[in-house]
Amino acid sequence: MDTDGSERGSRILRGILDACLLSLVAERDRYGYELAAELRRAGLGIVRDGSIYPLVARLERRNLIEGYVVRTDRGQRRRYYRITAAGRTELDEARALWDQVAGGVHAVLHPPPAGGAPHGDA
Amino acid sequence: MEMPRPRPRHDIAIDDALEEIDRFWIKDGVPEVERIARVDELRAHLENAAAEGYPPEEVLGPDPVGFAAEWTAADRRHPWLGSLLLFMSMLCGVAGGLMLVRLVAPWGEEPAFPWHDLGFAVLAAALATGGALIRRYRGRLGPLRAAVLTGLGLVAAAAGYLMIAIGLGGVTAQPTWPLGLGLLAAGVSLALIDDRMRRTARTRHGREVS
Repeated sequence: MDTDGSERGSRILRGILDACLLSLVAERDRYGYELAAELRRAGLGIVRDGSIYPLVARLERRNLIEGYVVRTDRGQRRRYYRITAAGRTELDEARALWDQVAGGVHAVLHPPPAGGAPHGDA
Repeated sequence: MEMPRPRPRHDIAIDDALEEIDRFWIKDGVPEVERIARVDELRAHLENAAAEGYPPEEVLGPDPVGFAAEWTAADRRHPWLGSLLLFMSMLCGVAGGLMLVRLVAPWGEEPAFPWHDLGFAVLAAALATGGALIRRYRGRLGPLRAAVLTGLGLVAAAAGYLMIAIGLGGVTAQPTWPLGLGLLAAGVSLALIDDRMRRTARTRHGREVS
């Protein structure tokens, strides 16, 4: 994707990325790198990996997710995130809103083939 | 004898970026427990990314400190209240401290609390708060906005100076022990409240939640 396209993509995603993160954490508990990798896998590679951390921090501050530390087999500390009840409610609302917005945008961007003159005063 | 193997280039870049970020967080007053937790998490992420061929710039962007500032801003509750607390704690603390110094070791001809002592307190508070704000919004303020904010800050500092001077009776305010100790105690209390507010969801109990 060219720079302009990538910037436009980032701008569009900015408002919905928190819901994407909530959705990924709702599937199962995940850690930071896993979240970034999942976004890449879903085709959202235009999102810089690091930009998920401020978003995750904001979600945690709003008690929509919560973090806990697990020690890996190699002795590393890994911070996992899980969704809270408030997070599930927020996710449901975000999904409903996205469906509405996406449907509306799609209808405007892909209108049915026009046939005839524009409406107006005769 | 076996020669030590050179460290991979990504490892050095990761260390450099994390050092820069950590230094910023120390200056910005991020609590130690929080800082260590964030750096650990970030290191793990950068190492995983490097193993897949992504250098640190692709994860953090071209400005690691800008990234660090963005994370802190997202983590902090009521950032403007924090700035106000910092300003007021410095103002009260420095004014109270100077008043106590004048009582212990008076100098000059006037026993009154002079304007320039109050000026020091306002200047110290304005500098500390201004520095904190510029650090926090680093990379997100253009030169014009920064200049406008600096101007507004100076006007606010001058207004605060006049209001407090009038409130204390201006140049005739007598330094007293209760007033000096009260101001100092208020300054310390406000600084403690500010410190509590810097704690985040992950370290609100003073340690990382496991």
